[in-house]
Order: sequence, then structure tokens, then C-alpha cells
Amino acid sequence: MILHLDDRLLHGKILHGWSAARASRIVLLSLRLEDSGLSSRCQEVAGGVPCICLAGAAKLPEPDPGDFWLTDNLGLAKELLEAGLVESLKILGLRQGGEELAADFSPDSSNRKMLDEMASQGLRIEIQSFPSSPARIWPF
Amino acid sequence: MVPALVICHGELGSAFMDALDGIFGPVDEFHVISNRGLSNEALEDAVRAKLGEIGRQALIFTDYFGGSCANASLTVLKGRPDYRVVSGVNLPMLIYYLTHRDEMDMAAILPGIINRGQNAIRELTPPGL
Repeated sequence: MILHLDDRLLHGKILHGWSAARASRIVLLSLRLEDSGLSSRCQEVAGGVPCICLAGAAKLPEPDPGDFWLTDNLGLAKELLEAGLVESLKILGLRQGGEELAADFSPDSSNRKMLDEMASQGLRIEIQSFPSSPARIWPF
Repeated sequence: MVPALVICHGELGSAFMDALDGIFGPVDEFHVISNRGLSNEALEDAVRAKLGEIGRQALIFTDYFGGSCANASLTVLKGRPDYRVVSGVNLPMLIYYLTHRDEMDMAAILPGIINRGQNAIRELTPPGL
């Protein structure tokens, strides 16, 4: 299972550009889900696609080939990768005001450091803004 | 695939295109005309030229019913029922169009576009404390 990461979580580019709107199920992992009704809003934004919202890595559902797994949190992604619960991480958007290293990819220094640590552990991290754009393996 | 031609006031059409690029990546068969600085006649000429460039049946989106963009479309397409014109274009309509245009023809896609555009207009309630 590929875990996708976008710091805007569920939005237009994810739903349509990445076809999450055509997935059979969306699994959302975010530490912000409890805040401000974000969980119920995500259910609504998903537009009828069953949406499982989890505030952490506990109680993960059994992966299904029709799933679209998405998080907005690199720390959570790191946990899941290190635990072998997902096979790889694909970063679709991480806009944090750092140097823009690729489209929609400008990590801050702490996340850049975390990405380097993950890569040094042999974890596979791809940066890809759209399905039609080239995927790049971190580090580059 | 049914091509689209968006005819709007000012930079609205280009702004839609820019927003859609941010959602889908580069979008093809999606054309834009602005009425900026154009007389009615010049706008009609621009629409004719663009339709000639597209070269086949296209779905036309305009910003508002009764405006110069909608009027120019209707003038140019007089006697051409194979083209369809929709007013009140908004982003949800265009997203519906782009996600269905590969699998639907003009007649099939149009009701969904209008329905999606109308349903997107609603009052949103902020979450309670």
C-alpha cells in the first residue's frame, strides 16, 4: 500500500488530480482530525466515497487494492513506514515555506531532516505533484 | 472527448484554467476567451476564430446569462444546435466536466454539469465550539 502525503489533506487536487474521488475507500490519517470538525468535513468532501478517518496509526484497517491512503503528517508517515504498515510514501504536496525543491514541495528544515533520516533507513519516498508529472526519489 | 471553450469577463476564464491546472495538472482541450477590450463584434469574431481552431463540436461555458460573453456565444452559434452553451460557470461545474468528458458525449454530460454547479451553491455552517 502506498501512503500519500499532502499537507492540505483532502482537497481538489487529491480528489480529482489523483483520483481519490474514484477510489473505493479513502483512509485519512491526521493528528488534526479531531479539530474543528475536520473529520466530518472530510467525509463530506469525499463526496460519497467511504472515508475512514484516524487520528493515529492505531486500529488501521486491512489494506484493500481500491484504497487511497492519505496523511498530512510526515511524522505519522514515518511511523507507518518504519513499522512496515505501508510500503512506500508518495508526497503529493508539502508546502512549508522552505526552498521549493519541486512543484508543491517546499519542506521546512525539520521535515527535510526527517525525510533524510527516512531515506537513510532505506525507506522509499517519492515526490510527485501530479500523476502526469515525473516522480522523483528522495533525496535529490 | 468534448472540448470546452470558456468565455468570461476579464481574467476569470484564465483564473479557472489556472485553478484547474492546480487540481488536475495541465489540462488539454480547454480553451479560454476574455472579453477584455473587445467590442461585441470583436468578441464574436474571437469566438468564431476559436471555434474554427477547435474544429469540432465544443461545449461553451460563459460566466453569466445576459452578459456580453453569453450574448456573443448565442449570436455566433445561431442555427448551430450541435453546440451547447451553459451560463453561470463555476469551479465545481468545470471539475465535473473534466472528470466525465472522456466517457460521456455532449448530451449526456450537460445535465450533470448543471446539476453539480447548482448544488455547489449553499450556505456553509461553521462547526460549533
